[in-house]
Amino acid sequence: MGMFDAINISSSALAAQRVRMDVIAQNIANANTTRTENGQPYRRKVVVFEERKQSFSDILNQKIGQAQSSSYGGVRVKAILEDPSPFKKVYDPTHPDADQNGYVNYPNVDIVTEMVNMIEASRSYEANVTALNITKSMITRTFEIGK
Amino acid sequence: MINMFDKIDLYKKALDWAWKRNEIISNNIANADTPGYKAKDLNFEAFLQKSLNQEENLELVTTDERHIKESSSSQDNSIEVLDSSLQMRLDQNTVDIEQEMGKLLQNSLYFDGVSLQLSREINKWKTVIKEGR
Repeated sequence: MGMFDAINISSSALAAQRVRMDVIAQNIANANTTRTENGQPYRRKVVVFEERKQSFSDILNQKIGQAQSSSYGGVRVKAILEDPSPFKKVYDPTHPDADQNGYVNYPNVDIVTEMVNMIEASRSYEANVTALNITKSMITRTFEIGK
Repeated sequence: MINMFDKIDLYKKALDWAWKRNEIISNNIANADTPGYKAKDLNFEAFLQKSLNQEENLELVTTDERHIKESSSSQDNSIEVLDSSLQMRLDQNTVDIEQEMGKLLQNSLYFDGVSLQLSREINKWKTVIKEGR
């Protein structure tokens, strides 16, 4: 029951949501990128979250009775994966990246989906800021006990 | 004779519970977008029962200093309850963000209330010690 455990949990979530926002911004920025380093169009990237567990030493200390009780670690970004869905084919023979039939492969980024995900990430961020503020007020309240 | 710290101890336990619960709810909110995460909560009765039992010396007896002591964490698991009333989403996550925010606010108000009570209790003893002056 550490004093700042809850703050660490909420701030880990803030960091994770920020990474998610960064990746969404990257997707939107590259929505029309038909040529990347490997010659292929840009592939949409997705952030995968994972519950952050305690470290080995935390669990060991608990088992030998050093630590009082179990604590939580919050959340962390497990991986940033590529969306394997197919590219969008658009007929545009004038485009330099068009194939023999005149079709261009555009990235598999859907702007609307990205915008919705971005709003969701920003709302999650706000929820965690609220949690952080509540923890802060609880800590301040403990200082006032006995006043 | 009344133990002057009985009430203070009780308030302390209630604060401990709310403190721990705040951590658990914060963790639920942090993991609102984690696939497969299950929302957790803290059982008040079990927590209080365990806190009260600790004083009754029911600890595992060890005959040697080097023996592994009974871990308090093994009992903690029975106190944390999985909230099964919630609906599971497609990604097998059971966190309901509205409910968690409500619980968080409720818990914080509860904490404020108990800490105020505790302050009043302490001030009462201060008055007694100062002989009402």
